[in-house]
Amino acid sequence: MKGNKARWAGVAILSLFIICAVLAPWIAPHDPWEFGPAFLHPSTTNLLGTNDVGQDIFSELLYGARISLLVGFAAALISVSLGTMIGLVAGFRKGIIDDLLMGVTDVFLVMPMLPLAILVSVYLGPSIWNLILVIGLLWWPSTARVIRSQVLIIRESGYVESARALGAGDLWIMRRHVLPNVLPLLMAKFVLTVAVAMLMEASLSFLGLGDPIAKSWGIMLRYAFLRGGFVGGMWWWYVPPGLAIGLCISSLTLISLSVEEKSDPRLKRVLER
Amino acid sequence: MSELLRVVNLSVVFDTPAGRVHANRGINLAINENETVGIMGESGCGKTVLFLSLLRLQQPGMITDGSIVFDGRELTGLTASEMQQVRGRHIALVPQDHSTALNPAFTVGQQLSEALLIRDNGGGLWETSLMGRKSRDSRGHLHEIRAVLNELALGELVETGRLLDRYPHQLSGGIRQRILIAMALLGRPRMLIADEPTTALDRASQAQTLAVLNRICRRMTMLIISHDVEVIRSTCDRVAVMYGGRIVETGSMVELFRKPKHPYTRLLLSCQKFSRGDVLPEVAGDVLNLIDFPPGCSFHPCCPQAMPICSEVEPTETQAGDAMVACHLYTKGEKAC
Repeated sequence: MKGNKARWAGVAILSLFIICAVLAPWIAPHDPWEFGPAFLHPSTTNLLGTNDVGQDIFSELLYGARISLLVGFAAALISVSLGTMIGLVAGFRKGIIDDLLMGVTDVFLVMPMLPLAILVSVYLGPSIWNLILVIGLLWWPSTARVIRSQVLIIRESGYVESARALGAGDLWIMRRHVLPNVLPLLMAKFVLTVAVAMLMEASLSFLGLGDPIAKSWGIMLRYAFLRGGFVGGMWWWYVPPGLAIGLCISSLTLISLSVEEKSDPRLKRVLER
Repeated sequence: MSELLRVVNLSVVFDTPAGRVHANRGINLAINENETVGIMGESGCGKTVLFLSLLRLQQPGMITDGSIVFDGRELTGLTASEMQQVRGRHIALVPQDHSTALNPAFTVGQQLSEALLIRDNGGGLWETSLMGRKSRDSRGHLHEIRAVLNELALGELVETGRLLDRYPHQLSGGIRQRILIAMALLGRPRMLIADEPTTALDRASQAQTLAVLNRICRRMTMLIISHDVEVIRSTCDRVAVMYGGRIVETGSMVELFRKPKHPYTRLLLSCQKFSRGDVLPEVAGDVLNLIDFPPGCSFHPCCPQAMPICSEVEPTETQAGDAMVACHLYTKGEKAC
């Protein structure tokens, strides 16, 4: 029951953020790009005050959900699809193809992610789409590993052999038997990757590698840090985006855990403790 | 009766770290149209490797020698995709273990229609409609599935809606076994291979499955692999007995059970006749090691009637009555017993 509650808490928090992101233009009290009086304290007109150039922080926060979630989901989609394809082929084909693919995976796995992402995004230049690509193309190895290990089990199963005896080919078996059986694992991995990608986006944006004009939580933190928000003790500037990132990632983790528990009941006891 | 399958001198080996395992050593077997042939033998005698080789699913084993001619076509030379067309449509397999052979993620109905989709689409990547949708259970398919399930005495369960939308774990072993038979039959194969069709079942389900097999084997060619003499006795026209990767005796079912010729067959059959309180007849010696087997007849270390020649020369298959026996007791020049 506890796992269930955790999932609903996660879903509730995440839905709230998604609603904010979708409805941002309608519910935001101000245009977050509009300049105005700078460094205002929280008030009824500016719920969280304004930043160094007088943009409404609350509106920024709502719009920021759009970019942060977009980067998170898009990057996770790329990385999980890539990892799944590589894991499927490696596990199913075994032999030399497996060795090659897993060799590449290991190389990516041991490389420190953040420095590599910094390096690549410096070359590509700051933009949201580059950010998505960088995270998506670098974060697949763990998915590939997990999927491969599961495929290795499934490919030896009785139903794969009986499908083969019915005259099914490799692609058929992969799509009809292997993929559906790794799907729950894939879902858990996907949700977790969204969280990782959002964190990565925040880190890269904070370091100035995101689009400087776009509104994302990482960018907000960056300006709060650079333009005296931290030193000036303006908590309404840096706490909300940090909190948003933290809550979003916690909710994704909760969802991922409960999906994983559903796919593998042995994990249930661990969660209930 | 025309010949449907002819296996000549088939040899299959497995390369293992411990050495080369000779799983099949010169198998000769012929099956006529509409005939049911049983293969009997102990665990590890090569029964499974034999039927997997017929489907070319024996990997990592390698076919080193011999030929398999099915319906006038040589199977050992076919490409992987040609062989894929043979599987299921010409030769279908009923797998042994009903608890693992069905995919736990799909309902029985989905898996039955999958068998049809594979038959109709060649088991490639694409199919006509989206997976998991009701639309693909088109009326024609459903009709065909019903017909086959009726034949397997599952029609009532279908009508009352307690079969097609159930998952494998919700069904009993006997029903699952019959679903596997149905999946094989849906490919409209020329020949059906049933691997230990009753081994994983309780007594009641065994009887049901046997009744079903009995009905099917009257209308099609079947190869039944079993170590259960009862199954062979109630379904087969002819029987082949395997030992140590070879077929040691082939004969008509009646003849073989009444007058077994090979000493191994005799021992095997005598095991079945013991009743409560009897001492189970034991075969001397060890289970045969297929990596370095003894010279001569591989059964001679365990044979109660071994002669000096048995440890020197491997016996060839000889006609004895209407049976073929690979034993020196029946080779020319020797005294028949």
